[in-house]
Amino acid sequence: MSTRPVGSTEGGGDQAVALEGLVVRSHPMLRKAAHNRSLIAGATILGILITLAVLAPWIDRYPPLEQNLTEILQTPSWAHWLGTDQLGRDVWSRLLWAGRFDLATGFIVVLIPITIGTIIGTLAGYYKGWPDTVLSRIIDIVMAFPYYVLIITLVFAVGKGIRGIFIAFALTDWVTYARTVRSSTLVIGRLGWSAAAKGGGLSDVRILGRHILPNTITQAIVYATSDIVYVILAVVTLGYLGLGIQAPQPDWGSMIFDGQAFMTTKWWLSTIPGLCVVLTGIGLSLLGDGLADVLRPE
Amino acid sequence: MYVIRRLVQAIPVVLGITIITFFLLRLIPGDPAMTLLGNRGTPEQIALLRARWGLNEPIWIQFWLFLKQLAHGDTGASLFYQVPTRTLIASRIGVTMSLVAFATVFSILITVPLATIAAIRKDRAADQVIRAVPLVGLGMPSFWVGLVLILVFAVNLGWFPVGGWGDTIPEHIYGLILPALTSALAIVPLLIRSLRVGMLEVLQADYIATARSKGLRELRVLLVHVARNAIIPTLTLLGINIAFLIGATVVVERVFQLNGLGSLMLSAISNRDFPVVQGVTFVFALSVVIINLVTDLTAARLDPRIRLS
Amino acid sequence: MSWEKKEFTRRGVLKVGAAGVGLMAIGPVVAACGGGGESSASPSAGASSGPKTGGRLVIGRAFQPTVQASGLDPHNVAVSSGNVYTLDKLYETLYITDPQGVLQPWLVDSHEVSADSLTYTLALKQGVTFNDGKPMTADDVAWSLNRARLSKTGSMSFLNFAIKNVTAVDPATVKIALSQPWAPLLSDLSIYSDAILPKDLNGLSEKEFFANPVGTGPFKLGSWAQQGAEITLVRNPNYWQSGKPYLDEVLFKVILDDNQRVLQAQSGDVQIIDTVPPAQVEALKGDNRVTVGVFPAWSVDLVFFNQKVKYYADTNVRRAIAYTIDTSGIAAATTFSTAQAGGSFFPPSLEFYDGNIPLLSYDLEAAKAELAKSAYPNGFDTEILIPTGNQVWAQTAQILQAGMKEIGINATINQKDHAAYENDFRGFNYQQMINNAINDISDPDEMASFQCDPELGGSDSFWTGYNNPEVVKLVRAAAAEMDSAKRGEMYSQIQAMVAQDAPYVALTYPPSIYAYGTTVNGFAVNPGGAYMLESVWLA
Repeated sequence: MSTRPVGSTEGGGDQAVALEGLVVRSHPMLRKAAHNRSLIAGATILGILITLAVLAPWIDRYPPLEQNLTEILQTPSWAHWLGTDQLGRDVWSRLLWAGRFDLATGFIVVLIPITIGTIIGTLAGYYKGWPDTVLSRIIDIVMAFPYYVLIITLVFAVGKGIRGIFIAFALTDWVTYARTVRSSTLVIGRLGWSAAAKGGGLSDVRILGRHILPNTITQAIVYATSDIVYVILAVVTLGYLGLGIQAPQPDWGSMIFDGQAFMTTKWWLSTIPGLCVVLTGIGLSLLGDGLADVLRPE
Repeated sequence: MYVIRRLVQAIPVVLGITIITFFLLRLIPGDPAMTLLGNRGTPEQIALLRARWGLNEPIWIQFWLFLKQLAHGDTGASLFYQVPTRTLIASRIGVTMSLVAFATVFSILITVPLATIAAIRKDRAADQVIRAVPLVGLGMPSFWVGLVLILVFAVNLGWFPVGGWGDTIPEHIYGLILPALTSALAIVPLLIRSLRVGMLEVLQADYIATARSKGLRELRVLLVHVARNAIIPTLTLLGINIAFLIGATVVVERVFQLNGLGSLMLSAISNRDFPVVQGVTFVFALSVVIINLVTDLTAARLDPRIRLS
Repeated sequence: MSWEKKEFTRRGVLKVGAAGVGLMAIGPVVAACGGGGESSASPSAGASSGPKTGGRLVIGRAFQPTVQASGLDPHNVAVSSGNVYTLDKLYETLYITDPQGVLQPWLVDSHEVSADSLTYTLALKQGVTFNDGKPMTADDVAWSLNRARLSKTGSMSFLNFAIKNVTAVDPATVKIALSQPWAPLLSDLSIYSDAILPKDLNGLSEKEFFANPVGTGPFKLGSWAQQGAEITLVRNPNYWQSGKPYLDEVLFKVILDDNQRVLQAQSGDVQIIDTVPPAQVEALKGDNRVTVGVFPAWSVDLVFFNQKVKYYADTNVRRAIAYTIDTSGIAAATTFSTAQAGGSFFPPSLEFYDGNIPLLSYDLEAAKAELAKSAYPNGFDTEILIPTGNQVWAQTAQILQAGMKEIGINATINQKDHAAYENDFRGFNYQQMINNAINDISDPDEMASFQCDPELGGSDSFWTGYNNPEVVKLVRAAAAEMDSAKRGEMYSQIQAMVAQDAPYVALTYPPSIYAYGTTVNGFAVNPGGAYMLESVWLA
């Protein structure tokens, strides 16, 4: 989506000059980052959430698994800042520990698909021809594969617990990144200046790494920021459908799910963990937008 | 020509998926006969039923029979309902496709204006609000969002039915609005941000400044130049998400009690009703391939520079 | 902004006042054919004017209607909650269980038992007709019962094993010859699968006959357009009780999502719903558009121990774990006190239930002492198997987990989807599991055999491998004992011994919870989980 070369009304010769400009600008990016409000805001929100999660062992007030069947479903009080759940467990403590698990999981699980997807999409869009055809068909197959059949199979193949869904995500999620990056790469490729750059002696890797990727990756980042949220919620959605995925205890998603039964009376049980997920989403989206701004060449 | 080629390429894709599914299903623990007969089923009864369903044959024989059937265009009969899979699917496909269509329309109707405003008013209040508010739709699971919509609009305000498909066309439409909205809200935050980013990038391009300097009115500039270029990656994303929507109708169909393909797929998986799972998989795979094709074609039309290989 | 949304939502929701949001989507084949004693809710009473004829009753259920794999053939069909409660409107049995759990003659006027208890002579009720107008005769009864007991695929044919032969003495009398004295016989004849069909299916092939079934029941098959989703029954104009049924039509809908089911009941889209989530009962009781019926059931939720696993072959281990289980706490926390705390493995509403037997009640000190006596005094790691889609059991498993932790047993929870869960426990591939036991008939023999007699019960003692020869002897003797008082004593002994052996521990007795609109009259559910519709009318 690089714009300068596209918009340039000058001739082809200027394109090489434009490329030089891009190279020079990559360092001032950091300076740009420091001034970008979106980036700062997003980083701050995420920073707070992550800090709380990291500090969980020290700032929780009860063990998150400790039940107390005589004190179930209590409203918030000094003893229990956010009340207790159906089995008398302290909600505040569970919230912290759930955050620990969910934030870590979300980030980690998304890394693989974004890496694989970007690489594959870039290769497909850059080289075109038969690599593109083959990769596009592979993408088609993976995309069209019924998600739930795959999930169930993986869960049984991989064994109990949440590893099944991690692997399923890694196997299926990369396609979105691949397709978006491929489209963007195709657009840039059509601009003709990559041919000029090649003519100028730059290697494929250099072109890809320094000139194409920073431009195509913005869309991938935009998607990644919501993808992390999808991962956090995936487990509980599958649980809702009865597909044999076990939610770890505690986990924001399962807290939302368990709290559903009490929407009229203890609405916070469901809504507060949901709020945490939403905040995570907001932080990520601000961060993503900021990154996109920073990476976008002037 | 390109279309024909893509369609031809689609056949092995769809077939491949159906075949892989065939094997995967039989590898999953759980037995349809046992599931059907429940606690009171004796081992003899289970064996009898399995024999009747041809499940005791070695897997290669089952596969061969399956291929033979497929060659005749027969997708088999449901183990549980003893009616052709075709019939089951036909009775439900309308619901799901309508749901997906409505959801797509809602997504577009919501995304385009909001993304445009956010791009134009970049970094101002409107921009921040537009990017933050829809995140609730993303951050809360669909079943929660759907439920809240039901409680507010159906129970409290009474504008829509609580759930179900209804018997007449107007009832169908009314019944689909909240579910379609729920599905749309799950993907709208993503689409808004993607379109906004795309628009911003193009808005900053020199050629836009050039067009402006030539005196074209702002709106026309926007529509003609920005939209065309900005929309492509978002279009790709929309295409991907429609495919996702097709699979994700499962949750929405359950929350709103719509008897569509999603719920059929789910109960078939639960019951280990292999032929039905295979049949629905086939339909889903075909839909996704077609949607991808349409998306690519549309992108090519919008930007002729994307030469289709 | 999210805070705003919360406020708005809460206000809106509180205004409605009712819809609590339970998300316990109960799996399709969780046996809800409970059964049991007196119903706490009397049949719905509507307007004081008499029954009105006409109208369509819509029932929303959490189960799919009859799976067509076995068609609508009661003798050969696989039991599932969906088909049991549909078939019993089309066909009838010689005896039924009333809402109070008492066996009543239905198509029979009287019976006689021979001196050696090996022959029963039944005098059939006169004037009973099939829905095609033909009268029901002894030939039809004999043919049907023989077909039922000889069925190789019917799930309930095991109940009939003591029957040697059924013959028609004259058009109004049937003789049943037994291979041994069999006290539960009349009760067995109330099982839905012992339904009376026309002899030889009126000469039609199975396929033809069951496309348009002929039975003596108050309703006929109307339509079954959407397989797995809806089934419609229409009035039988030739029903032998004149003037009934009052209803023109009955429509069974499948509504899997808990909230949807409850909301549709409240909005009047459906008139009756089953499987009301316990979490919503309080809220629903406050809604005057619906009545909540909490009907006692012959249903028990238990935790089972697989005795083929070394830890659980050790009686002290099982007893120790039994002592860590706080059944009152579980009943209160997971079922919101809609279910009673478990004790005996018989539910309280079942005949010969004994509430006075000594139990291994919640006592951590006793638990530790018991474990110390076992071969694993330092505890061990283990697993609790549960199916997905059952919120109550998911919470229960966590409570059990916490309880066992106190004595050094570390249990992880293994949640699998329903088919895999079945596969596992039937293959003895589990350590502990939570499951539900039911009785379909008023006689406790079904439950006792199924859970205590590894050879004849058909399930190797509910897949635990429990084999206490004394208990087995008692169970078999009790089935053959015709004297009620003596039977009662035997079952008391059985319950006491099982409680001490702890092959499984009763957690709660879940009732059948229904909700129905104010226009519904005459609706009541028996402890077997069945409800008859010929006397139901809509105001």
